[in-house]
Amino acid sequence: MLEVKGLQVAYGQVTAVWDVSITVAQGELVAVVGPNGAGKTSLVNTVAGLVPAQQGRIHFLGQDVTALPSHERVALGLCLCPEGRKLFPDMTVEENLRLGAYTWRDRSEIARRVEQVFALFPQLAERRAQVARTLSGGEQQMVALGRALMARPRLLLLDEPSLGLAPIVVTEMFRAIRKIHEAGTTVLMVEQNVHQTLEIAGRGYVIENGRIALAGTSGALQADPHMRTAYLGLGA
Amino acid sequence: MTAEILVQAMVLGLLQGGIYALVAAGLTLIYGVMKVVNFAHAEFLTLGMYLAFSAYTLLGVSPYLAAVFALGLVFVLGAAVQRTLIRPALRHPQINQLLITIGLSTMLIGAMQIIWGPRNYVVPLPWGRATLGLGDLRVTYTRLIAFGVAVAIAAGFWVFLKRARGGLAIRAAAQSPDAARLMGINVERVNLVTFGLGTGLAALAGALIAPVFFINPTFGIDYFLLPAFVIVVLGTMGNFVGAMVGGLVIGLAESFGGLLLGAALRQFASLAVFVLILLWLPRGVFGGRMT
Ligand SMILES: Nc1ncnc2c1ncn2[C@@H]1O[C@H](COP(=O)(O)OP(=O)(O)OP(=O)(O)O)[C@@H](O)[C@H]1O
Ligand SMILES: [Mg+2]
Repeated sequence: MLEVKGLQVAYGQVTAVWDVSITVAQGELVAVVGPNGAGKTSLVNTVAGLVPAQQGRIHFLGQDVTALPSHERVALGLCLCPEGRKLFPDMTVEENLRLGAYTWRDRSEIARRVEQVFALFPQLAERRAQVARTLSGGEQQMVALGRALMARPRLLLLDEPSLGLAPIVVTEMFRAIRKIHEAGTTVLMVEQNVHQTLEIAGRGYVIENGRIALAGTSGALQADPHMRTAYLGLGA
Repeated sequence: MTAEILVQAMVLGLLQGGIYALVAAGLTLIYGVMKVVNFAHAEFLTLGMYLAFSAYTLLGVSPYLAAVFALGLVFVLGAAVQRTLIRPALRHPQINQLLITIGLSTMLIGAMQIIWGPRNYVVPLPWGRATLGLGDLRVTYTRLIAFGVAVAIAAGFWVFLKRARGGLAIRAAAQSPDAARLMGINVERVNLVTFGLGTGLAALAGALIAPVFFINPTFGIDYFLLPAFVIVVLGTMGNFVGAMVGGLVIGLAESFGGLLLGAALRQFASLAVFVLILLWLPRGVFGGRMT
């Protein structure tokens, strides 16, 4: 479904991603983990088209999308729920959600999806007319995830959905992501919360200093000695 | 000072404020979406006045019909300006954009001077001086129409921003361009359309007031640039409703200022109100929020 080959990303003189290749097949939930500044956000932002690729190709559903602008990738079903949520701060919860379905035109279908998001996150329903700026961090993350779902993505990219959330909300977030995946959405997910991520992911990539340091099934990564000491806080 | 004079100042202030509001609405919209301060904004108003003048004197077309064409024509011109001059500068420091829009202002004034000459024109509507009497107060129909249409267009535009899919896209691009892209919005096209609409609204306002004021190449920059900026800052830059409220406030401040201090100092009064309000609310009346 997604094939990234030899990707290099740079900001001016600073190269953030070196020769990274990853694949995601239909129906998978794939994790990307790694320390701060490793280049995870640069990777998914480039896949979503917010940052240009210096080198390498990105194929989505068999089509070369490397040079396609972001909004056209969204229309193909490639949607990113970005790091730091990036909500529309002065819009209501409902307006934020409606914008998620911007590429769709059927109003009754859009209204139905809004209700589906409220079914997934009931506490948003009573806040539908509240402006996003005034929501708690957890609620904002729910809106961000719900907004990404509104587009009916074929591949959902998530960048640190648990960032800055209380443990109980983190658990709720992971439960929602698992539900979304089980309902048939393919997911590529960047996370620092390695333990919980590997619990729901089938496979994962470890990025360090802009390069893939390790890749494998969640089971293999959980058993890897380097992973156990550096990321999982366990003994080798 | 009698009550009638005060009422008259208030009515005239509101009538002028309605026009200010429409002009400032376009300016604030362009700033809100692109973060570009369009110093050439008032020239699009002047251009609208000239278009109405020529439509009337050459073709016998009513200025109010010409207003619609001015909106369409200047929409296209504004979009072309955005594509050729503004868009390449969006990646560059704000000072570059500033110099570009100031240069554009000078160019447009020069072009209008070449086309229409330096002298003052009036749109000689046969009923241009007819007035409506409201008790002791007399107001020209041309001012009433200009106010009514300006306020109606601004209100309609506000509904468009709030309700329509395109309006939602404009607000989204203003609040977070990258997030808007991730929603599937073509932000480059939103920028283009917003610049066209903003300048088109200024031209529309110009056509509406063409029967009210003397038209010359520097009319806009002389009488509308400063109030428009004051209004936009007062109403919080990028905030549409703020521009509406700010327009009326500045219209009133000028009118009462002219009454108390003499016509020559009317802008002093609006600047004084501006400074006082900003001392109290430094981020504008709407506290830095976007509509
Ligand atoms: N807009 C930018 N301009 C310049 N350098 C940048 C920019 N964005 C990221 N970088 C640099 O690129 C490198 C990778 O950053 P990136 O945000 O991709 O890392 P990350 O793995 O997502 O980190 P984190 O876990 O902290 O979110 C860092 O060295 C960072 O300083
Ligand atoms: Mg990151």
